[in-house]
Amino acid sequence: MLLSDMTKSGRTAGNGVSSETPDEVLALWVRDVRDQAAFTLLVFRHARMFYRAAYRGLGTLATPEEAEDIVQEAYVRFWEGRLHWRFFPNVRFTSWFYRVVTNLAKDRLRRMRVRKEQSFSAGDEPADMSVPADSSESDEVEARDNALAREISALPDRQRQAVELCYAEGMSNKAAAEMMGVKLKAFESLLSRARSTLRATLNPSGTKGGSDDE
Amino acid sequence: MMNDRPDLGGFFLRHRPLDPDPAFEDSIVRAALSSDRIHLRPGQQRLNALLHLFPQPVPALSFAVLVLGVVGLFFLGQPSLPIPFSQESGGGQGLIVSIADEYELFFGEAEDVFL
Repeated sequence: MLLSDMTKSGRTAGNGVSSETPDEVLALWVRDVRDQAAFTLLVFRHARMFYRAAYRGLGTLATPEEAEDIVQEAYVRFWEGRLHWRFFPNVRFTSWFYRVVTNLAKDRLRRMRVRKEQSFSAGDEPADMSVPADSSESDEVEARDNALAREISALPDRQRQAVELCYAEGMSNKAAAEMMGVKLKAFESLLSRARSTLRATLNPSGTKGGSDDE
Repeated sequence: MMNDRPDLGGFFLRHRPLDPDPAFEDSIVRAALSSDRIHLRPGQQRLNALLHLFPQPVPALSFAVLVLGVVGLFFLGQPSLPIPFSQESGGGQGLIVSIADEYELFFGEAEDVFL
């Protein structure tokens, strides 16, 4: 979006904040004039998507409370001016904030693992990341899902995010690439490598491994 | 038997994160707005520091004095304004004499006061 578009959609018509106002304009208003309406709109627009990202980012240790806490922390930091959102053409607010949330989730997960290691014996396995399977599901599906959950959480971060945005959020490749702040080709490459890694590791006849790093 | 292609869509559908609290968004907004830890950017900090050099009533007081001064000069008649410290008015004394004249105009004899 061009800066001229932003000024056009700015506060020329009264107090300006509407459902059509782009995220980037709202973010600038929050940053520069601490506009409460703009902030509230940004929260109500995206908090649930960021919540899911935080939840998945916590992997095996995810709980709704922890994920909510991460998203709240990110938004509060943004409101307080502790996150420096900078406007760049073609960089979306959501892609920047997505990285903020996933990085916070990664930090939180690291701390939680350290705490867990300190409080439990070394042999304890972390809790299963997945929601307990419905009793009506077959054992085969459950086993496959557990294996898949393990392998997805073992993927490199960027590949895992690509898979999650595409399959869990149902985003198009283009939208997911924008969200991750990478070019479409790079995103497709990440996704392709993730798929082949999962295929190789989940195929009983194949060998485990093949996880390529970024 | 496991498929060669993992069913990622089905997996994520079966294992959606639990929904957050219904008042999730409200609590975020409340937490943010109730926060008093405001971190200003360097530009804003400099401006604030500059403003805090002066006591708060000063800008309003300065403005009031300026307005009163302009209005006062207008009513006292600009053509007769002295040129301070110039040759014509006899140096600094000219200003005092002119002020005394203006004073007389309104309040009568001013010699005892100014001269």
